[in-house]
Amino acid sequence: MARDEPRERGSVLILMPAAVLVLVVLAAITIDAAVVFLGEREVADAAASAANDAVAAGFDEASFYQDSQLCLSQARVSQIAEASVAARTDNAVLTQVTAQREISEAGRPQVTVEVEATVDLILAPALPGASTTRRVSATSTAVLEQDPSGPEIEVTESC
Amino acid sequence: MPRWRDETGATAGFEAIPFGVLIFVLGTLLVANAWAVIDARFAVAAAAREAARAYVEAPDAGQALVDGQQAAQATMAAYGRPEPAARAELSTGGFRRCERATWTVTYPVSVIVLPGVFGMREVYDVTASHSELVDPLRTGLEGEASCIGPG
Repeated sequence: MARDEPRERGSVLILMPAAVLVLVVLAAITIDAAVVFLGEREVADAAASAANDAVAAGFDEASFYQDSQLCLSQARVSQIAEASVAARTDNAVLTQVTAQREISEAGRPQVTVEVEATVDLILAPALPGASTTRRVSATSTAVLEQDPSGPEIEVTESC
Repeated sequence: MPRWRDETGATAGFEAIPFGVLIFVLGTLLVANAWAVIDARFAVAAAAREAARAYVEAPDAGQALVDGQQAAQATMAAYGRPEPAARAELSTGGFRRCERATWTVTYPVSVIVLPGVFGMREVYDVTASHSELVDPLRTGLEGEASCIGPG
């Protein structure tokens, strides 16, 4: 036993670069996870903002002003939602925006917006076999509420 | 004090030390730089969102700009970046019914230049923008509540 002891001297030094390399790779994975999380937050913001805009301004004006009826126009809702998402500068590459008008269980008009995007990872491309992009999506629903002190407006599903 | 009895393992170990230090230093700086940019991106995205929300919900046009600026600065401060380096501005739109107001927030991030990485800048401008529509049926604004046209 005593003769073998000196032969192990210095051997741990060769393990240190490998250990450091493992730590750097783990840190890189953490960075990319943060990038994906950032993309998810951006997509969620985009969906919430688009739904809020679409439900507030997507009503059919002819029905509202001439017939005193509140009805969301599907074409208008889609147009506003797409414009809302297009006005952003996100890290995530937005790929699809879907806006759908609905009537809530309480009888209120509502808009549900689904946004899909891809996030380009930063450090993963340096790792062999790792994916370079990640798909993220978010769904948000906004309900149009009337001012209780104002006149009650009839809500209709079709314009 | 122990004495060297032979040179077993010494060559491999001494070779590895500078290589390991190089990986450690460059890798750590690379990760630190990337994290600084990502963290700033979180901050400016939140600041742009809060500025746009504050702007469209302000009582009048003059107050809207003030509210937007204050919301952006407060959000940046909440993210630990209170210095006035952040630039928040209303990039498009105005305070009118159905107008799409877009706020853009830019923050310069100083990074450590890595040796051997060409084309690397010392400062990266991290930018985010957020847009909100001024409610067409809100009170206190001039003009017709008609949103027909580009969204």
